[in-house]
Amino acid sequence: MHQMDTAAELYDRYAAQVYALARRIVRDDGDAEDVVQEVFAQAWRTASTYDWSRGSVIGWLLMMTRTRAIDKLRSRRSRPDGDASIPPDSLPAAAVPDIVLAAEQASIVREALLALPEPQRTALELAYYEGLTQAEIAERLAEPLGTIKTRMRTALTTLRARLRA
Amino acid sequence: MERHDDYSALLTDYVLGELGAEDRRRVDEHLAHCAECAAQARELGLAFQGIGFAAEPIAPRPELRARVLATLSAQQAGPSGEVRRAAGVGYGPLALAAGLAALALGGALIVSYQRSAVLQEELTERGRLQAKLEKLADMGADREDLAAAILTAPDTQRVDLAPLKSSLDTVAQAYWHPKRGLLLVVDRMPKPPPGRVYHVWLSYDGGRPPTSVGSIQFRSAGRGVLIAAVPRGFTGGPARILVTDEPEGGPVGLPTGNKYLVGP
Repeated sequence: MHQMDTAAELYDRYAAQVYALARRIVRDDGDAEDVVQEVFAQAWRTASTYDWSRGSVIGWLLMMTRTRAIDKLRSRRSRPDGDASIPPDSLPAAAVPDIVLAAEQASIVREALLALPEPQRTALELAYYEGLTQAEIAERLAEPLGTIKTRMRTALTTLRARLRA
Repeated sequence: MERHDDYSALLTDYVLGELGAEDRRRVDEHLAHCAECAAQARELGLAFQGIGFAAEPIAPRPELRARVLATLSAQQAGPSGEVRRAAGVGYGPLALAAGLAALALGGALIVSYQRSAVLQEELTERGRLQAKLEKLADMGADREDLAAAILTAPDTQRVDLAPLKSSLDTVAQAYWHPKRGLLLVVDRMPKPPPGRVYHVWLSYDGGRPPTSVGSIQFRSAGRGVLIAAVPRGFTGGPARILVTDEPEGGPVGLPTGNKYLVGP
C-alpha cells in the first residue's frame, strides 16, 4: 500500500533521531519508546496541516519529540524510575546514509554546544532538555533572572552563528 | 505603545514559549511588519531547535517499529494525502537530497543552496577543494555542501557496497557523481587493525591501477563518512569502489591492506 510504504519510510528515516532525543530527555528506554510512538502518530495525523515552508520534516518531528518527552518527564516525576535499559538495534540498511549523515550533523552540533562558555551551555540545556523556564533556571542556579535572560540570548545567538559558520 | 526595542527584548521569551497569550499575540503582530525582529526571532528559534539535533541517532529495537506502524495503520488513511514530502520528491537518494535541501530551507543546520551554488563554482578548482577536504578542521561546512551537491545532482549513481568477508555485517552505500565527487557512508564497520585506517579507492577493469580517494572519517564507533571531490586528474568512470585498510599516514601508491568492501 502506497501510504504504508510512506509511513515505513518516514519511520525508517527519522526514528533513530526521534528516539535518541526522547531518550536524552526522559532517560528511560521504555518511556522513550512511548514518546516515539506518540510523535509518529501525531505526525501522521497532522502532516497535511503543517506548513512545509516553515522548515524541515526532521525539525518538526524533533520539536514534537521535545514537547512530548518533557510532558512525560513531568508526569513521571512522582513515579519511580522506569524500565531497565533496552539495547538499541542496528540501523535499517535503507536508512543508513540518512542516519550516518545525521550522526555527522549531531557531532557538529555537539561541538558547537561544547564551544559555548559553560554557563551559557548549562542554561540552554536546562531550557531545552528539562523544559525549565528562564525563571526556573534562575532559581535553580541561584542567579538573577536578568542575568539568565541575557545569558540565554547570547547563548542562542552564539550557537546560531557557530552552526552557520 | 511599545517601542521596537521593547519587542526586541522580548524575543528570547517569545522563542522559548514563555510569553502569555496576549504578549505572544502582540509580538506576532510586530513580527508581521518588522523584518529585523522577524529575522532575529527566526535565528533564535532555529538555534534553540538545533539543540535537538545534538543527540547521536540510536536505532530503537524492531518491536517499536512494528508497534508504530501498526498504530499508523490503525489510524486509517493517515492525513489527507500522505505526509507531504519536501520538494515533492519521494524517498531514496533524491529524497535524501530533498531532505538536506529541506534542512537548508529550515536553516537548522549548515547547508544552504546559495552556498552550494558558490561551492559548485569552486568545485572546478578541484585541487583547492581537495586540500580543504583533507583538513579535519574544515570538514564541517565544506563537507555538508559537497554532500548536498553530490546528492542533488540528477545523474548521481548510487552504489551499494558489499562486505568481502562473510563475518562482516557492515552496511555501506556510495553516491558517485563523475564531476562532483563521491559520498560514501558506512555503518557497523569493525575497528581497523592497529595503526591502520580505512581507505577508499576507485578501481577499474583491465589492469589500470586503482585511484586513491581518501580515508573514511569516523565520528562514532562503526559509523563513518567519506565525502570527496573527484580525484585530481581522474577521467572516466570507475568500475568499482573499494575499501581497504592502509597505514595511518595514508597509502603510498597502491592498496596494500585487506579488502573489506566492494561495489557494485
